[in-house]
Formats: sequence, structure tokens, C-alpha cells
Amino acid sequence: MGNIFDVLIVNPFMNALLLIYAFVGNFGISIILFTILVRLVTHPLMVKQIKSSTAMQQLMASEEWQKIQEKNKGDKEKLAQEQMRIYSEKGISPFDSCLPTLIQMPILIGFYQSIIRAIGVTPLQLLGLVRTIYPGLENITPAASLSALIPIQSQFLWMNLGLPEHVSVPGLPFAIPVLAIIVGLTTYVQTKLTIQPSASPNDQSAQMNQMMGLYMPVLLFYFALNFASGLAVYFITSNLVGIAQYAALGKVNWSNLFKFGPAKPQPKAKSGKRS
Amino acid sequence: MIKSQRSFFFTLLALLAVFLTACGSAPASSWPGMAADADGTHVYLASGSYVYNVQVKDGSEVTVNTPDSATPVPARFPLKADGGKSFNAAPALTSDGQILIGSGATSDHTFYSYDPLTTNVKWTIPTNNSPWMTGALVIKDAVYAPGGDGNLYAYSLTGQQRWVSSISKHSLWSAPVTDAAGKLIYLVTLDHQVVAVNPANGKPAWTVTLDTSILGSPAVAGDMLVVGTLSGKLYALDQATGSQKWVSTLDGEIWGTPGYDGSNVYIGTVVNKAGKFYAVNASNGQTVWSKDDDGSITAGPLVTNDQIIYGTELGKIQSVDKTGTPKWQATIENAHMYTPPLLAGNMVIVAPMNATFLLAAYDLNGAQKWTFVAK
Repeated sequence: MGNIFDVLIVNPFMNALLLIYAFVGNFGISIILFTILVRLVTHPLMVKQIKSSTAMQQLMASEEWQKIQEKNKGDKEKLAQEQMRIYSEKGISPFDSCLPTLIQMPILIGFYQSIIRAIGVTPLQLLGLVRTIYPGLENITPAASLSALIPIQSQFLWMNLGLPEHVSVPGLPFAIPVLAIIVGLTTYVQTKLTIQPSASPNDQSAQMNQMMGLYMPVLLFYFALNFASGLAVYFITSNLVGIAQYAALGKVNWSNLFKFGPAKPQPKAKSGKRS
Repeated sequence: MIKSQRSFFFTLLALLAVFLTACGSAPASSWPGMAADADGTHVYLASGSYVYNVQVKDGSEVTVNTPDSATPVPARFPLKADGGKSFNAAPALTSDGQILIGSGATSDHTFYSYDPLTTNVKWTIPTNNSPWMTGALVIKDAVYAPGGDGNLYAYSLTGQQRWVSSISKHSLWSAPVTDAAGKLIYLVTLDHQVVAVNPANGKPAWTVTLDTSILGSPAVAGDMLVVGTLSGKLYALDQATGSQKWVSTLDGEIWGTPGYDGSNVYIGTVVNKAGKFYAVNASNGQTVWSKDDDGSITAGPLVTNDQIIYGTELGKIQSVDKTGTPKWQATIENAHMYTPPLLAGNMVIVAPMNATFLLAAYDLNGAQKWTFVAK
């Protein structure tokens, strides 16, 4: 399974990343450019996911939906049947909002792995890297030949992309993980800005969004703190591009940024056939 | 529906965490390093969180008495793993009994001198913000430690800094070597260079740029240095000037340090997932003989009086005589041999990766004598 994943996703991604590196000569910029490219390629999936989520939110805020919730409060089976009926009538699939995420996940994980492998900070990792560079890569540009690619210039700005990043400040007894802090902040901002408003501030969806707004920044902060800083560059770029993508679609919820409760509920929508 | 969405979200989050954690382990992982003491009675194995001290006679671990324990405990360094240290370089041994090794972890970048009898730290080289990837060289009363920051550090054996010399923009991955008289120190770099450094002041005597990255240390062969590159070229350079004496193009990539027996140079190559082993005439670079192998050969060979022993990525230990005729072979199931075999006394010691034990010892006829499992 791991091999198929490598062959289909990780290795092509890693070679694309190395090819960009061969042209720009800076691994940090290569990560940034490739992250933007991957986000653009997966943009249609993201649009579909947003549309599906919005449709679901509108449906759940509709009077019809609220009525069947109230009416079948004590009968879970009947409630499920009614919900399925409404989904069918409105042409909404509850899994439409999940499917694009499912498709994006292996891409993002594969991209993450390709960064780790391309940096190659130990001989063992370099052995793996050398074996997965496509022989035809140097036909595209001589800068993509093995002798030109290795060693990868892993220095970017003040950091070594193959190592966790910390900045030592004179007088302070500890180093500051600047990049990890930026990862945490941008993840928090992205999550807050892009969470779609829920039907009711007390519903489980709102609580889930609120938890996501807390857990994701902490999780990614932890990764950025402990793993190669090349990953932190990826996380930050991905977060910023994600915000830009949502903004371009008019889906950024600026009012949520400094609001620490559940997202503001939407006014109840009249139910209607999904266009 | 909401519940299923929540389960879905947390499943995704958990999957993400598992995938990210599994693929980006924090400690720098690499193959183990090892060294034997001068009388061939102890092997020091740097593998993961510890440096082990193993007796060559029977593969048992040396023990030490500590105030914290009523019974003797294994004399590992450190005595208790703290998770922050990771050791993969070959330890350097001094004539006054110190063990010198740097931590290759991403969090601890300290170079340690410790006493193997007590495992107490004697002195350290302060953090340089980069992992120590390879072993140090000891010449007389000084240690020369190649850093992950591309600098070569010279320290006295009491821990006083003598000089620091900038060698490369990249991490130094190969241990330095010296000539018989200790006149110059020779280093290779990932950015294609062979550098000769004056041990007295750290100033480069000469620098030669080769075609590709160099991963194995140079072999001292008479008045020459022999180095192999990732492109498969084997270069012979004059020790005093760095001028090229010959170059030979082999099939595959060269990852290890060549061996030398006074007339031939021996080296294995990586040909995709297979390998090839060569004997090359040291006087003119002509191939004397070569052997194909099913597994890649990354590590340099062990050259003894009458045999050449090398390991392959498929877990095979192969012994051949100087004409290339096989003498004996052994295979360790599912293991990878990336670390060069070592001669300690009359035992051939190997440190496989991915095996059920950390060390194995063979006599010079290929009979396995013991294995060492860390308990």
C-alpha cells in the first residue's frame, strides 16, 4: 500500500518539487511555489466542498428541517427517514462535503511526505531520495541532474529547512520557535476566517467548528515545533493561500476573527430546490 | 448526521496526525556507527538513543555500578535515554580512554567526551545548532570533529577549543582521515570537494572540486587519497597537493569508503537496488575484477590479510579473497547492511539495520559466534 502511494503520489510530487528547485535554485521558494500549485490544482475540489457545506448549512437552517427535528425528536429511525427524504428532494448528498476533503487528504499527505524526503537530512534519507529521482528529469534541464541537485540547498532565509527552526535571542535562556508560532497563528486565523456559520450556536456542528479552531492550530504548532522547518514553510504558505482562496470566493467570515464563541448563526433560510 | 460529521472530522484529524508523525520522525534516523578499541576487546556501537559497550569475546554488554541501582546496569551512554539524544556516528576513541561522539538528534546537538568505565561526561563541545552526523578523528592529543554546520572543530583531549575551520556550506557527513604521519587532515563534502586541512591551525592546504557529492571518507592508499563520488567515479589524488593521478568510472553510485590492501582499492556501488563490487588497481585505476550482487553496496569493505568482506542492502555479508573468489557468506534475514564491517581481535563485527539484534560477530571463516540484543 505504501509503495502504491509512493509511486502514484509521493514520488511524482517529489520530482515536481525537485524540478521547480532545479529552476529556481532555492528549496524554500520551491516549497512555496509548489504549495501554491497544489492548492490551485485542488481548488475545484475546495469550491465543491464549500458549495456542498453551504447547501447543507442552509438546509439545516431551513424551517422544514427544524420542523422534522422537532416532530421526530423521540424517533431516531423516523427522523433519519425524513432527513433522507429531504436530501433526496433537495438533491443534496450529505457526503458531498466530505468527498472533496477525502480526495484532498492523500494529496496533502503525499505533498508533506515529498517535502520530507526531498530534504534528505541523513544518508539513509538521501539514499531513498536518489533512488526516486526520475532518470528523465535531467533531460528537462541539466540543473535537474543528480550532480546538480545533490546536495539540496536547504538554507532558506535564517533557517535550515531540514531542521526544526528556533531563533536565539541574546539575553534569553531559551530559543524562540518563530516559524511554529507563525504556523499556529496562521492556522488559527485561517480556521476562524473560513468556518461557515452554523444554523444554531448551540448545535454540535458549531461546537465541532469551535474545537477545530482550537485543535488545528495546536496540532500544527506541535508539528512545526518538532519537525523540519520546510514543513512549517509549507503549512504557512498553505494557510495563507487557503485564506486567499476563500476570500476570492467571497467566503471569508472576517467577523469571526476576534470572536471567541461559536460562529454567528445565519438567518433562517426558506427551503428551496438546490440549483 | 451531525454526529457522523463529527466522527468524520476527528477521524481525519487522527489520520492526519498519524500520517504526519509517522513520516517525519523528529530524530535524525540513519544507520548505526561502531568502533573497536585498540586491543580489539570492546566494540562501541552508536545506535539510536545509546552508545553500547559490548565485549568482543562473548557479545555481552559491559556493566557499571551506579548509586541508583543495587545491581550493575549496562554501561551505555547515556545510562538512561532521555529521548533528546540520537547517536549514529562511529565513536572515536582516544589513547587515554575517552569515547568521543556527537548527538545526531534534531534537539540535542552536543558533542560528548565520556568515560566508558563510568559513562560520566568528561567535557562537551557546545551546541552548534546542527546535528553531528559523523565520527571524529583523533590525532595525538587533539580531536577533529566535523560538524553538522559544515565546520571542522579542533579540541584538545581535555576539551579546550583550538580552532574552528569553515569547510562547507553543508553538513559534514564523512569522517576525516589523516595520513600515516598525521601531517594533513582530509575531508570530503556534499558539495563535491576534497579538502586537506593543516591540523595545527585549521587552514586548508588544498581543495579539489570533483564532479558530484562525496559521501564516503577518503581512503589513504600509499601517497594517494582515493575517493568515490555519487556519479560512480573513483578518483586517486596526490595527498600532498590534491592533483589527480587517475580517475576510474564505475557502474553505479559510490557511497562508502574504499578499502586498500597495498596494491588494490576495493569498493562497492549502488546500481538502483542492486550492487557491484570492484577491485581496482591502485597504481593506474584499471578494474582488476568486479562482481555483480543482488543488493546495493553502500558501506565500504573490511580488508584483512587474506580476505575482503562487504555487506549488502539485502542483509548479506560476503567474503572474497583478493582474486574475487568467494570464501564465505552469511545472510541476516530482513536486515540491511549499511554500516561497514569491523575487525575486532579475530572477529568480524557487523551492525545490521532492521534485524532482531544490533550486532553479530563472525569468525574469519564465517561462523557466527554471537549476536548482541539490547535488553
